[in-house]
Amino acid sequence: MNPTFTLRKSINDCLNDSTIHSCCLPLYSHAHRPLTYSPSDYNNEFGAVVQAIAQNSNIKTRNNLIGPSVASGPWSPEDVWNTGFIENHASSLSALAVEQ
Amino acid sequence: MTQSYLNSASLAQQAGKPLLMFETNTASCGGFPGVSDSFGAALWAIDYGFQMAYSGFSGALLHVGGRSAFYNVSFKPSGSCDRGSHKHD
Repeated sequence: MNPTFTLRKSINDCLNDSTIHSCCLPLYSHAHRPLTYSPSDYNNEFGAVVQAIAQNSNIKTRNNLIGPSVASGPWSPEDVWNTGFIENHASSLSALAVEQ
Repeated sequence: MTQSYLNSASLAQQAGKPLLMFETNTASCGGFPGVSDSFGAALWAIDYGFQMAYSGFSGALLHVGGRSAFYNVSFKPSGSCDRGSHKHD
């Protein structure tokens, strides 16, 4: 199964469901990610998701994403902020999230 | 508990975005028996919630589990939830 298809379908289904307030995309670093996956990779991948959403006419709500939802490591929130994540994706983000 | 997030809260305010604590609990995922379902944990969660609000958080989600979790705060999700996926409450 093409992993990007699964990602796109779950985005599509979630964002179009009016009963769901917001959708989070788990990009767990301990599964399906190369060991070199870095915060800047996440920043770029988030941008790719934003672009995919913009190109999908079935998705009506485009500014309801939440990220990065970092927990206890290996990344700190500052690792993600330092990539320019907030500035890059401000128009697509409805909220920032962390975990503890 | 929220000391390390004060900078993030400030950045969120500058960007005009709410800062949310997305998964949290007394112990990982749906919590541990005897710990997370205790009265003390309930008191702790209330205090923690106020601390987060004071530190600039706009909301928090207590992490519950799917049907395989030993305990859920309010209800057991039905249907497609199972080990490996989870809903937030």
